[in-house]
Amino acid sequence: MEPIKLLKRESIGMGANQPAFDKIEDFIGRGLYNPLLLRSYGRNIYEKGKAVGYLLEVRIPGYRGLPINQIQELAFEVDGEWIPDEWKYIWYKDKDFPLSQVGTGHFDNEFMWNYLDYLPIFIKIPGGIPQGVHRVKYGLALRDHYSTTCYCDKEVTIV
Amino acid sequence: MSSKDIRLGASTYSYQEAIWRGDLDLEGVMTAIKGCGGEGIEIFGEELIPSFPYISKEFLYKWQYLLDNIGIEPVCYEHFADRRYWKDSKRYLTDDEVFEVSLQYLRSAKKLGCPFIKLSHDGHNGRWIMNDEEDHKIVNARIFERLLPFAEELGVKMALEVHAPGLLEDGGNDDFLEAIERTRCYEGGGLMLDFSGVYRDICPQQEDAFVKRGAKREIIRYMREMSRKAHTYDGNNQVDWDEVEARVKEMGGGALELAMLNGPALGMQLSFRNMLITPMETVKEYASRLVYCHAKMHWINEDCTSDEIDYPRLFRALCEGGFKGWICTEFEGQRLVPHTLNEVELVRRQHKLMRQCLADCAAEGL
Repeated sequence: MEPIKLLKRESIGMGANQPAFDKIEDFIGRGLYNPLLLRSYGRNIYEKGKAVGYLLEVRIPGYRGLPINQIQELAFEVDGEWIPDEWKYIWYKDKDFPLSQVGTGHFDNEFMWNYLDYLPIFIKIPGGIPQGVHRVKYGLALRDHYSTTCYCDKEVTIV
Repeated sequence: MSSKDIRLGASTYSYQEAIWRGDLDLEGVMTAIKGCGGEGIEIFGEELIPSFPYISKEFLYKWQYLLDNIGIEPVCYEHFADRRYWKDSKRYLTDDEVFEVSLQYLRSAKKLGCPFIKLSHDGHNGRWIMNDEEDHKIVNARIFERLLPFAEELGVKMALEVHAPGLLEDGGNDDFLEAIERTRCYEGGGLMLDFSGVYRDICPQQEDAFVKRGAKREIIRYMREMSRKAHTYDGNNQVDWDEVEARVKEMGGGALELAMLNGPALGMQLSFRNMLITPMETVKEYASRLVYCHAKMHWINEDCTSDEIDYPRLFRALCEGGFKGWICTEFEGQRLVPHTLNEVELVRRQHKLMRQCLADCAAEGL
């Protein structure tokens, strides 16, 4: 039997012409703003008495968790400074890996970012960040069916 | 077929924010559904099953206990078929892989006791598609055809939801319907109505958003009133949209108000003048072929009435046309104004309205 002839459907264009998401402005106004996406407290991470970086914890928006590999871009601007990808590591479910590996085939597609979980992101910067209140902007773009993006801008207390 | 053959439930999608905030867990959601008179639940694995994509024994025991203890039935397991897992846009799940993923959803639905999965399929928006790049597509009619015998054997039906801007009657699911005919697996799948296809008005949150963008509220309310009049089917529904346009201009309407009137500022609904809506006569014509319905809803008034849908006539059309099965609430208004609406209260209002409609149909002998 001949294969079914698939209908040609008219594209609505969702997810087309996306920006590069290489600056925080690319996330603003595209998705819903929600201050709850970012935990209000972060922490410096110490190793043998020395701060080696700091941790921020973020949520996935929408109505479902997704495989980690569907993170297209996960971005921060802290006190006006863009955090480069090579400084970011995901610490989740007993795994520790560079964000840059996401979407490269290093992971099982069933490695889920659960809907209810904060995803801890370690920002590796020797000396960490001074304790106090910092302005943090968080942007997330997902490779889901709806090409979801979200954005959050708030003061985070780093301890 | 009669109003007694229609049963009401709710999707966990309706409570997405309360779940996200931690205010409601699975037991809380089931309790909320039971409390508003619902009898069935549609569940998203990616939302509420910690072991997703697997159904752990621990979860299954809890699920079965809660269903039994609270007294509601499993209805539908939501399916997704995203293909894009890699940075390299040329690499995405093949049709074979989407088939395997979908089969897993069918098996999970069987485990959970759900008689349906709502299939994420390329006909979801009828003759439109979100994005026609190959990596953005989901389940096509060829994959669906391969799934049909498995679905039928498992006793899980694949509901082909038709969602705005798609309409039941636009032909945008013909390749999927052809697959059912080719396989003769009539118990494997069928059309599903999402109530977004019968919206006749926007909701107050959309009105507020247009006011924020500079539109005049009194003009929006006038256009909303005309749109409801045009799609109420009470014998007095003739609206001269050229007259409406002239009146909008007289009232001081500018580019934004005219874009709402003539398009395409209303998004999936297009415009007040050319609102995409399935007529109730057509709903009636399709009703006996529908396998499942999503009662999509953005807002229900405090007095449990609705502006966005003509519920009494919709339910009459479903009853008269012979729809038999589940209608599950899919509340979506919270997504317009995050963490400001009370999801439990809005679902409760809609269930009260839907039950009244069913009671009215029963009183008329339908």
